[in-house]
Amino acid sequence: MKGVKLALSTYEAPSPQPVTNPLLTATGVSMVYPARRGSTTALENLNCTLDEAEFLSILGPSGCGKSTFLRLAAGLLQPTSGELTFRGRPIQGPGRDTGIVFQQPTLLPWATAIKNVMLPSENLGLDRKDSLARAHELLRLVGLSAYKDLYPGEMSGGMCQRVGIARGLAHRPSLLLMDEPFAALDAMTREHMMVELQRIWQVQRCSVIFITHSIPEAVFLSDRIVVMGARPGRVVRDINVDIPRPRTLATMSDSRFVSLTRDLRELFTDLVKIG
Amino acid sequence: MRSAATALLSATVIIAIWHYAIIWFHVPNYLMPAPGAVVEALKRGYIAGEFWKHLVFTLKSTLLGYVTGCGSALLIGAALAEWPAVERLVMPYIVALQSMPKVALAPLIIVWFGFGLESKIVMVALICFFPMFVNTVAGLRQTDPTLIEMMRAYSGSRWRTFVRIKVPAAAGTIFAGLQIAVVLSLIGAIVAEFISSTEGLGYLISAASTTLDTSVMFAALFSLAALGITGSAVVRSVHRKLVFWGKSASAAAKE
Ligand SMILES: Nc1ncnc2c1ncn2[C@@H]1O[C@H](COP(=O)(O)OP(=O)(O)O)[C@@H](O)[C@H]1O
Ligand SMILES: [Mg+2]
Repeated sequence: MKGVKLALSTYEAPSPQPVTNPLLTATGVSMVYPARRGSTTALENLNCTLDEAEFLSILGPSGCGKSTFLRLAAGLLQPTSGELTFRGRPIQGPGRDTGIVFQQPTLLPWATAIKNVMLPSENLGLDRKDSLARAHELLRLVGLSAYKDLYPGEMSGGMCQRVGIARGLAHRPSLLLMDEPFAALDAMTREHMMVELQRIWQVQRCSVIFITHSIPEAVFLSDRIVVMGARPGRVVRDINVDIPRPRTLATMSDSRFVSLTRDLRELFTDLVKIG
Repeated sequence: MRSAATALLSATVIIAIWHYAIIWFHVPNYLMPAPGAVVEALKRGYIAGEFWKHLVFTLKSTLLGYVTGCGSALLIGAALAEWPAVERLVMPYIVALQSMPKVALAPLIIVWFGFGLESKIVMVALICFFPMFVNTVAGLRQTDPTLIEMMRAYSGSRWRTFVRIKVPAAAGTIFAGLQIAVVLSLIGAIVAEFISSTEGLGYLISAASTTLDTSVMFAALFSLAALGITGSAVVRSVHRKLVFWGKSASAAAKE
């Protein structure tokens, strides 16, 4: 409860301090996947930073290396060259301070919603009582309090994905990585989840890297949008989204929203044509 | 309820055909007993006779051998699936042993372990080992790689990944192995008893064959069938209890 109050008061009085140390930096990152016949260059000389409490979306055509970048940031992969740092330290493996949400919910079918949410805390050996309370709080936040004892097989895709988001936040990470988390959902659920995610993020106030194919989703959610191009994967454009929060579905017909979406769509069409 | 009624009806029909076929075609008792004679033999054997003793002997060797065989297959299979070094070390011997018909080893096992219960247990364990071993390794290796990566991303230790992810993921396949092993374990016990034994349902069958007492042979066969059916039912119900989520659950979670 204390965390909620704190986060809300932070929101009401946004104090744009000059950021000295970004949370995450990528400097000249290249990633080459070796293969039997010719290797794939997924990323080439990628530079990017992410600030504390910033919501960053990555937009880009399929196969431009978005997932690769996310897995590098998660410490699941090591770059072929270049460096990624988290709070100034090179990322050498999966960190305790990072959560990840995959395109598929990737829940344990044999564990209940609450058990699934508790998995990261259990892995890290955090205090059991605290983690249980935290898991309850997160399930309430994602609107699944009443379903905490259901198994993934008994829940809809949207519910499973919310459990996945709650799990991503279980160990209070400073960085949440999301790889097209709504891609498998139907359009209605998707829009609803988008609004929900903004609400959840405003309470949690962690940094987010959100990968998506959807331009309105990126504009709606982000402080900043990085547009990537393919072959090889690189940053094409870095855009600030200066639309005040909280944004609502009505914001989507706001002129700033509309013009930004249109610009991005044009940029995107060109990218796909070239790619 | 309806399936039980159907089963009862078809059993009645089969028994009736059996009964009348023997009367109409004058089949002699030393070739094929009438259903009534088998029931008579069962009654005699279980109430006044020594059937219980034989049943318990076979049950004991089957159970002990099953637990030993399946247990060691589970341990060795898990070690092999987790450590490539163990695979390189153990696999050649396992392949060699597997390609050999285990029944051919029965006389040797009797020489080594004697005529009593021990040799039967070893035979059963040996014959149970392979399906269980193969299924354990396959089950542990077929774990959804995205679940393993998820566990890695959340700093899951190797042990926790094994216990929380791989073992439950393999449970369905492991239970399939346990199910196959039930039937095989009875085969192992009976073969060992055929070769040399003074007890057990296998012994009972081979002893009855010397006097052409087909009704006792049938009574022993029915007892064996009952053991097999009960064993399978027990494994199945444990399977359903433990692996309650099923394949559809994880598939549904992904949609
Ligand atoms: N494990 C892998 N091995 C080989 N090539 C890969 C692997 N993962 C991704 N790639 C290749 O790298 C490129 C970028 O992939 P990815 O990061 O998944 O793109 P995106 O998420 O933007 O669709 C693609 O050409 C893909 O085929
Ligand atoms: Mg991807």
